[in-house]
Amino acid sequence: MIRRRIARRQFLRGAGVSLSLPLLQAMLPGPGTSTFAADGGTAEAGDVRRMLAICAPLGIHTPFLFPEQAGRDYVATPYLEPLQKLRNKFTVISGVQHPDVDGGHSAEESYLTGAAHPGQPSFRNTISVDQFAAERIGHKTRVPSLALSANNSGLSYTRSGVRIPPESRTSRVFASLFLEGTAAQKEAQIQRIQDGQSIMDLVREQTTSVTKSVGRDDQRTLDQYFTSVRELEQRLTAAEEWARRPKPTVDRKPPTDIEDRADFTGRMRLMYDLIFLAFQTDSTRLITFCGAGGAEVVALPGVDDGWHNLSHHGKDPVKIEQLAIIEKEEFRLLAELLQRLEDVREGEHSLLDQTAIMMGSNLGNASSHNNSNLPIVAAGGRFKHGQHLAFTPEKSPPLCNLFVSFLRHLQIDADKFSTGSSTLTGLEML
Amino acid sequence: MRACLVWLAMLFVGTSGSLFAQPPSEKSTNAKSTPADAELPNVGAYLKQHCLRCHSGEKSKGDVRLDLLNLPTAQGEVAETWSQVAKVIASGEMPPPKEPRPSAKSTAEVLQTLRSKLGHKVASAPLALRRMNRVEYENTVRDLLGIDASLAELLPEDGSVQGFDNVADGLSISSILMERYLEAADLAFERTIRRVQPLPPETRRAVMMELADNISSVKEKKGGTIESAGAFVKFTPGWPPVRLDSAHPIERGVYRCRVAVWPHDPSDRTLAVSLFVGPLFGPGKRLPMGVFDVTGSPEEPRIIEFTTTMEEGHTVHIVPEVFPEHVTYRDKHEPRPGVAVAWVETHGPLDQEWPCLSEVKLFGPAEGLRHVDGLPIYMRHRRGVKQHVVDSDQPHEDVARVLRKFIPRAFRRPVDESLIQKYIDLAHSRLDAGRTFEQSVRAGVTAVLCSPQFLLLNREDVVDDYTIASRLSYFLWSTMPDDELLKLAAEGKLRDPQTQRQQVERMLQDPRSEQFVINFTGQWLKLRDIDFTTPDKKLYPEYDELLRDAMLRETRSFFRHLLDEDLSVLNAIDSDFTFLNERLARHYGIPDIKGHETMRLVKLPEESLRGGLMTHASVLKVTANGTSTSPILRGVWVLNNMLGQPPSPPPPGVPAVEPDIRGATSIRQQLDKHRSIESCARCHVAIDPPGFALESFDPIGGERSWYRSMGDGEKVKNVQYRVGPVVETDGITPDNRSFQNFREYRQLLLDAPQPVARAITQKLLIYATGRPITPADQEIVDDILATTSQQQHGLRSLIHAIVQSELFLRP
Repeated sequence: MIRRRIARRQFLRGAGVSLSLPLLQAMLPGPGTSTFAADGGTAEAGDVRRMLAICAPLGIHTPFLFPEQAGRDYVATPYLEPLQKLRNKFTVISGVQHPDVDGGHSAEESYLTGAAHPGQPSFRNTISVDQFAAERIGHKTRVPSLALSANNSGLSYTRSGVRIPPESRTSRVFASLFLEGTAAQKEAQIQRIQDGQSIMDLVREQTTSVTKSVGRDDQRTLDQYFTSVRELEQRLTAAEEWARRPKPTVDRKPPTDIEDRADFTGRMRLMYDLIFLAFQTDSTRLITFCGAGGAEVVALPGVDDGWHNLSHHGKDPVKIEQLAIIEKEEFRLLAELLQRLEDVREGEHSLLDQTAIMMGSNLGNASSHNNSNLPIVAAGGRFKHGQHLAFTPEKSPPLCNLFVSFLRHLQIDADKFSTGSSTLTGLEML
Repeated sequence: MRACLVWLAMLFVGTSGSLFAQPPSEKSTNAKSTPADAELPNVGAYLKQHCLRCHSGEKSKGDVRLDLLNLPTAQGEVAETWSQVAKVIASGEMPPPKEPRPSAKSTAEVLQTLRSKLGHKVASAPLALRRMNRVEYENTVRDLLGIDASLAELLPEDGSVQGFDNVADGLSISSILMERYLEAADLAFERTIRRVQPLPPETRRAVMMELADNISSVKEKKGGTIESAGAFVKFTPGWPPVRLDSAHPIERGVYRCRVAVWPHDPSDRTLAVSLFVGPLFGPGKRLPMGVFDVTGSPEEPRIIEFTTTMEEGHTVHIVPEVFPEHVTYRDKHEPRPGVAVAWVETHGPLDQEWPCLSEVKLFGPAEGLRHVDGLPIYMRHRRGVKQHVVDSDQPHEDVARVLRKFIPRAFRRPVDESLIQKYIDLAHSRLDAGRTFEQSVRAGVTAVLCSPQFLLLNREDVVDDYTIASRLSYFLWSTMPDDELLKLAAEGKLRDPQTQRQQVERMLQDPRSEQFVINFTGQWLKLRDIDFTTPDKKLYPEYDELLRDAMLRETRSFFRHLLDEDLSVLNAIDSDFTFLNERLARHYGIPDIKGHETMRLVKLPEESLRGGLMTHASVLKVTANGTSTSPILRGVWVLNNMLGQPPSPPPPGVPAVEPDIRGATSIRQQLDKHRSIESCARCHVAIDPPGFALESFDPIGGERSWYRSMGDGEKVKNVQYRVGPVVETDGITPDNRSFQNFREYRQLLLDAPQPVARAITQKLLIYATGRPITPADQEIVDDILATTSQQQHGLRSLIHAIVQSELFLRP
C-alpha cells in the first residue's frame, strides 16, 4: 500500500482502468484512512462493501425480462442482452414479491422496506434496508447514505417511517461531495454548523421540559422529537468534523443538470456517473435511486407516446413495442454502469464485486398495477451469479430475503430484515 | 423502545387486515388464558373468545401475543400495547371482518373496563398533539415573519391518516425533518431582510415586435409564429416562448404587470391565455396568475392586469389556450386561430419600504439599529452593490428585545420570562462567540422556529382559550391565529359559543379560508392527484390544460358555494347547479356558456346527467388513469369518500384485472370473471355497483356510451381511436336494489342520504381535529347531524356544529 501523498488528479489520469481504492485512501488524509484504521486497519482497507438499490417506478415488462428456463443455461431475453458481457456477475430473479405489499404505485414506498399495505389509510412505513445499513456503517463515510431520484419520489425511509427527501439534482450532490469551497466559505459553514449545534442543544432541553408538562399519553410525538434532535446533534458533530477535512477531487467537471425529462438517457447517465464516483471515492457506501418514469415522451427513436401511458399498455402491441424500446435502454444504461464498476480494481476484487446492486420494480405488471412476481436483477457483490433464479408462486420468497443477503454482503450481522427471515435461497455467497 | 416500535408496526400491519386474510389454522382456544383473566375477568373472556385464536402461542399473528400480555403497572411499552388493543377494538378493525363480530354490548363493556381500570395508562382517544404539516408550516412562518417564501418544498412529504395529512399519527418526526427545519428557518430569516435598497419604481415596457428574439422567431417560422398588425402571434403553448426581456424586473419586488393581447382569427372560438410568472428557462416554479379570455382587437387590445412578487430577471409566460384545437393539416376550412401579444409592461418595485416591512416587524424601529455594508452582490443591471446587514450599537440589549417580542407570537400564547431568557441566552452566547448581531438574532429565531412550542400544536394538556384560537385558525386557515383571535383569547372570550360563532363567520369570510377549501377538497376528493396521470393523447385528444384548470375550479367553486350559502352537503350526491366556464360547459355538452375566464353558477338543464360531486370531471379524472377507467377504483372511491365505508384491501395473491384496450373485451366482462372468485365477490358486491354506474364517464369525465378503442372497432372521423364495446352501467347494490344507469344509482343514494351526510361530517371532523374518528365518537357525530338537520346539513352549519362539539374542544 502506497502511503505517500500523490496529486490525485494526476494519478487518476495515469491510472486508467486499474484504479484501486486502497491507493485512493493514501491520498485522503483524514476520514478515509482514520476510518479504516479505526476499523482494524488493513483488514477492511481492501474490502469496502457497498450497496445500490434501483427502482424502475413504472415497472418492467416481464415477458421481455424473465427467461423461460431457470438455472444457469437460460437463453437471454431482450432486456438481458445488453448485460450478457457480464453474465456471470448478475442473477435475474423471478417469482419474488413483498408479502402483503399491494396498492399499485403506492408499493414503491415499500420497495425497500417491505411494510405491508402501503396504499391503506392507516399505513405507516418502516425503515428501508439502506437506512438500516446506514445506522450501522454510515458513520464511516462523508455521507452516510445517498437517496437519489430521477423524479420526485425516493426509496429511503427512516426508522420512524419518514421518507428521506431524495436528491434529484446531480450538480448539488456533486458539489457537496467533491467541490471544495474557499477558506472563508468553509469557515462560514463550520460556524453555521456550530450555531446549529447550540440551537439543537436548546431545542433538546425544551423538548424535555415540554414533555414534562404534557401529562397525557402523547409521549410518542415527543419521544420522536427528542430522538430526532439528538440524532441531528450527532450528525452535526460528524458534519463539523467532515467539514474540516478536504474532499476527494475527481477528474471531472461539475455536471450540468439536464432539465428536459425527455432526455432520459442523458439524465440517467448523469446519475449513474455520480453513483460511480461516489462509490469509487468511498464518499458513501449506500445509495438508493428511484429511476426515471413519468408522463414525458422519452426521446428515443420509435417512441412517440408518454412513458406512463405506454406502461398502461392495455395489451396494445404498438404500445408494448414502444415501451420495450425505453426499457431496453434502461438495461443498456445499467450494463454501462456495471461495466464501469467491473473495470475498477479494488485490491483483489473489482468495484462491482464490492457493490451489491438490485435493479427492479415494485410493479410486477404495470398495466394491471400488480405487485407480485416482481422483476428483479441482482448484480455484483460477493455472490455466485450467472443464473435465472426462478421461484414458483407457491414458494414465492419475500424480496426482503434478498435484502438479508445484501446485508450479509455488507458484513452486517443480520439474520432478518422486515419480512425477510433468511438469505435468499439459491443466491449463494462467495 | 426499538422492540416496541417494531411491535407496534406489526400491530398496525395486523389492523389493516391482511394478516388475518388467510384462514387461521385450527388451534384450540380452550386451554388458553391471559394474564388479564384474574384481575379483569370480562376482558379476559373477551380476548379468549375473539382474539386468542390468532394472537397466542409461538405462531401469533403479527407477533402480537395477548396470552403473554401483562396488565400495565405504569406508562410504557405494555401500556402502549394495551392502548393499541383498545384502539383496534374500538375502531372495529379487530377482530378482522372474516371473524365473528363481538356484540356491540360486550365490546362497549370491555372498552369501558379498559378505560376505567387502566385509567390514563390506556389512551383510547387518539392523539391530538401533533406537529404542523408542511403547508401549515409555510403559512405560519410566512404570517409570523411577514415574508413571501416557498418553504413547504424544503420539507419532506407528510404522511396521512384516514386520508388527511394533518392527523397526529401520520406526522412523524425524524432527524432529517429536523435538519430541514433548520434550513427552512434559515431561508425564512434571510427573506425577512431586504438586502439591497430598492430603486424608485419604474415602468419597463416590451413591445413584442421590437425584440430581436421574437423577430427571429417570426422570420424562422418557429412554432408557426407570425407577425400581425404589429403584434407577435403564437398558436401553440409550446416553443418558442414570447420574449419580453426588456420588461423583466431588474430586482426582486412587487410589480404590477400589464399584458396587451387580442384574438387573431378566432373563428367562433373564445380564445384564452394562461399567464405564469417565473424564470424564463430552467428549473424553478412558474406561479400561475390565471386564465384570461383574449378579447379586443388590434386597435383596442385587451389589457390584462395583475400584481405579484417577481425576482430579478423573471418573465411573464404567455401561453395560448386554443379550444377546440386547430390541427393545421386537417382543419383547412378555417384560418388558424392564435393569440396576438402586442406589448407587456411591468411597473415596480411597488414595495418601496426601506428597511422593508418584515425587517421592521422583526427588529422593530429601534434607535441604534443600522444598516452596514456587507458582502458585494452581483446584479446584472446594477454595479458595485453591497448587501446590507443589520447591526446594532447595543447588540445584547437589542437581541433580547427582538426575541422578547418575537417568542410569544411564535408560540401563539403568553410565555414566561424564564423561558424567553433561555433563547436570549443562546443568542448572547453566539454574540460572545464572535458572531455578528444579525447572526446572533438568526440563531435565536432559528431556535424558536425549531422548538416544540412552535412546531407542535395542541401541546398543552388543558384546552384553554389560546388552544381554541389555534385550533380555529389551523382548521379554517391552515395557519396561526391572527391578532384578533389572540386578543379574544387573552380576554378569555373564546370559550363563549356566541364568540366562537362570530369568529367562525369572520374567518370564513377571510381570504385565508381558501386554504380550507383547497386543502380539504384536495384531500377528501383526492384533487391533489389531478396531475398524477396525463390522459393518452390518442384516446383523449381533446384533453388540454384549459380543461384541467376548469376541472379544479369547478369543484372548488362548488364547495365554496356550499360554504358561503350554507347549502346542504347532500348536494354532493346531486345538485341542480354547478360551476362552469366555456371549456367545461362544452365538455359537459351544456350550451350557451361563453368565456373561459370565470367559473359561473349554472343551473343544470333537466336532461343533463351532471349534478353532484360524482359527476365533476375532476373527481372522474383522479379516479381513472390516463387510458382507462376502473369500476373498482371508482367504486372504492365512492365507498370511501361518499359513503364512508372503506372496503378492506384485496386478499393477497389475487391477480389484479389487467386492462385491455384492444377493443375485444370490456372491463365489465373481465370483472365478471373476477367476481366469480368467491373471495373477491364478498367485497366486490359493494365496490363494483357504483363503479359500474360511473362507467358512464370516461377518464377525463366526458359522458360516453361506448369505450374508445385503439384496436378493433369502427373508425371515427378525425381521431385515431375507434368505436369500442358498448358501456354497461347497470348493477345491483348490496342491499338488492337494482339500477340501470348512473342517474338511477344516484337516485338510490338520494333515497337514503344519511350515510353520505355522516361520511362528510366525519371527514370534516378528522380535518378539523387532526384526529382519526373511531366508533367511540359516533355519538358526537350523531349529535352534529341532529343539530344540523334543520339546515339540511348545510356546510356552514356543519362547521359551526363541529367547532362547538366536544370533539373539537377535547384535550
